[in-house]
Amino acid sequence: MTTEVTPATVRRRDILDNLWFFFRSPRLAFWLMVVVAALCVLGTLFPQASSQAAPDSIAYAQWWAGVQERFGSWAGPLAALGLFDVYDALWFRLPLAVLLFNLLICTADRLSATWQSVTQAQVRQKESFFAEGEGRVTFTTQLPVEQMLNRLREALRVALYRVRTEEESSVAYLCADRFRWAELGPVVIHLGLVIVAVGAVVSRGYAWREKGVTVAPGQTYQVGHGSDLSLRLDAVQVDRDPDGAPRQVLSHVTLLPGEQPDVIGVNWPVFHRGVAFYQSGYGPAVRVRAFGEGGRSLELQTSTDETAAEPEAILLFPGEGSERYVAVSARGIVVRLTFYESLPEQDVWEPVFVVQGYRGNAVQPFFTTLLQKSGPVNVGGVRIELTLDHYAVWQVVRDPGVPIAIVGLALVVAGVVAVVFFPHTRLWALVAEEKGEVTVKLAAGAGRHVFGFGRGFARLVDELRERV
Amino acid sequence: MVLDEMTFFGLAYASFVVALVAYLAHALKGDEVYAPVASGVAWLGAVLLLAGLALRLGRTGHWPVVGRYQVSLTFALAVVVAYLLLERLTGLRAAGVFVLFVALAFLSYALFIVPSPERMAPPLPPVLRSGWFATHFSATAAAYSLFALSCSVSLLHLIRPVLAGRGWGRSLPDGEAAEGVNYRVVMLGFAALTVGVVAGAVWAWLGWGGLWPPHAAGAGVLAVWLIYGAWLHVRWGGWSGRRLAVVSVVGFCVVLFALLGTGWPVAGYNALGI
Repeated sequence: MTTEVTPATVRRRDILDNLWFFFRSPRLAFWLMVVVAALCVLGTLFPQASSQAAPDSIAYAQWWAGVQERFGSWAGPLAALGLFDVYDALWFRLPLAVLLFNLLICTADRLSATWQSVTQAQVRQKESFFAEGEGRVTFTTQLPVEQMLNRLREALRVALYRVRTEEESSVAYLCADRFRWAELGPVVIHLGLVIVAVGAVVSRGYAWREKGVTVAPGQTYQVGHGSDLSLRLDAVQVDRDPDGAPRQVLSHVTLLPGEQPDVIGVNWPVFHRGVAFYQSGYGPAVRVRAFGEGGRSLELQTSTDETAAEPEAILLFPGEGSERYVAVSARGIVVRLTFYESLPEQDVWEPVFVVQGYRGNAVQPFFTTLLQKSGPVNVGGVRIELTLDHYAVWQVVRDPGVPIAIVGLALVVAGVVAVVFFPHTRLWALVAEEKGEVTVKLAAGAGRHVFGFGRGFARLVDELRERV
Repeated sequence: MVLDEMTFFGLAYASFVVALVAYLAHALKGDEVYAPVASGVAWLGAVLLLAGLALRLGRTGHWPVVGRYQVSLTFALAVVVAYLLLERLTGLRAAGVFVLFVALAFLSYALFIVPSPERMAPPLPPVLRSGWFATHFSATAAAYSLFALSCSVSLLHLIRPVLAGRGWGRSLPDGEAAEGVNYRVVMLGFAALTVGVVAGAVWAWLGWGGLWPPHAAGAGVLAVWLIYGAWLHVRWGGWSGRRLAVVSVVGFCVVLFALLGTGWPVAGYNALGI
């Protein structure tokens, strides 16, 4: 029974249909991807505040001064347009959101047809389906239908095809397909991208990041953010290449509570209870102790904390030329240490500290020496024990969105690999006996992502002919 | 004569110039005499460039992945090798003109434009000593090389009618052949770039806890991925011919921008490269 198509039976497209057709369009996806790519290019042309300095007000002020110097009077208008914060701007996020929506609609629109193509390929095809044309081959054989079908089945199974057959009297039908699930590759890619976006949203809402966490050996860092987790730095290990360049920097730590030892390295973070610790820097540190006559320990004051006096001080040096002071108050002596990566004028080519001793408020030092290894120095009758060490700089991050995004990225890779390297191809055969002669008709089919299955089909046909 | 890396780079440069002229003669005149000369000299140039980079590897102890000098040399090698392999597989020689031109442009940039101090061997920062970074760099370089081939084939497709009208370009591929090669090359390049992007994301996650490097180069790679993703979308949606060729050419412009316009990894970072 056929239904007559009349104007009354054809449903007119309403606004929802129009919206659906608009958002399912690959052309829309194309233009949105081009727009987002263009905005990414824009974001690379202008220095971006969010990635460099926004969380730190001092760093942001320095960054903004640099921007003003570079762009002059244009800096203000460009900032007002959001060009220094492209990835947080509405005009970046809106097309990105529409693109994701477009991917979802595209996927939903094609899912049913794709699923049907994957799971319900028809075995029996009409004779006209095998009519001459591209991807169609007909040949004859003396083998009986059953034997011919078996040969075909064997050859296709060797080529990793899944084979299904239907037979009736003197005619047999065969349908073979390979990598049929790869047809779902684009769906998996789109799903992966949406999951990445979900991960980004979760990161935006729930992640926190502490940058530049500076810890000296022996110190304990409290994670905070509602966690009782803390980390004690036991030692910093710097492995160097023969030319002196750092090869790896390791922080030997103890996780508290629990006294669990672990090691943080570059590209080797420590994950503990959802918090990740990254090695993001290191620097020279000097442990200072002072002794008077008879080895009696003397109390020290550092320039960073003038009220507290301790028997030991740890001085951290953030970079080339940085200087730190320690005072032995009981003896009226101040020791200044200055760090240099090298001192070519002194023919010193390795990291070195210049140690200078001052009496009271004197401007000129009464004592100067260079220190490259741990050891004692005698400054005005006070034995100063200087132990060279390193401090660590960490980033501490809690980002529940990352695992979600990683799953999404894995799906994207899986989808792309499926589409590119496992093309979904199909082959139908009709084997019929007529007047004592068996005719074999073959037809090729391929998914829309497959280009040039013709050559592969020709090879397959050659192999099949060899077998029969 | 001391055979240092600069000698090899200079000889490679000269070889590529000769190969470019031979490819040009072959493409315009269609004379088969020039074809084996072009391919042979291009292979020689690639081997010389590889030898120079290997010498540099011996001196620095690491692959040339740091700074624009090293990256330009590596890309020049990658694009020529990718093309020569494609040539062996498809017999498509005409694309050699553009590929050699791109390789020479990158070699010229490295050898004549990048200031001398940058040509020294910088140490490899610890953050770059990662299998994930190696995967990211290799896959991205392979993808960019394939996109250079796609651009090359697309340009041939675009200029073929113009040259054919003047009786030139007999050896240029016809539209269907060019499109077939282009599709395969873009598919492979997109797969390689996807692997590169994801490896880069994992590297960033293990290096400093974000899924994207905090520098402009990351956004450049993403822009390239989006452009070629868009290319595949419209290709599957039915686009073909000159329109698709134009998208390929635009895509490679974005690749050049990502390589040259977005700064270079690790510039301006601390001793760990972070």
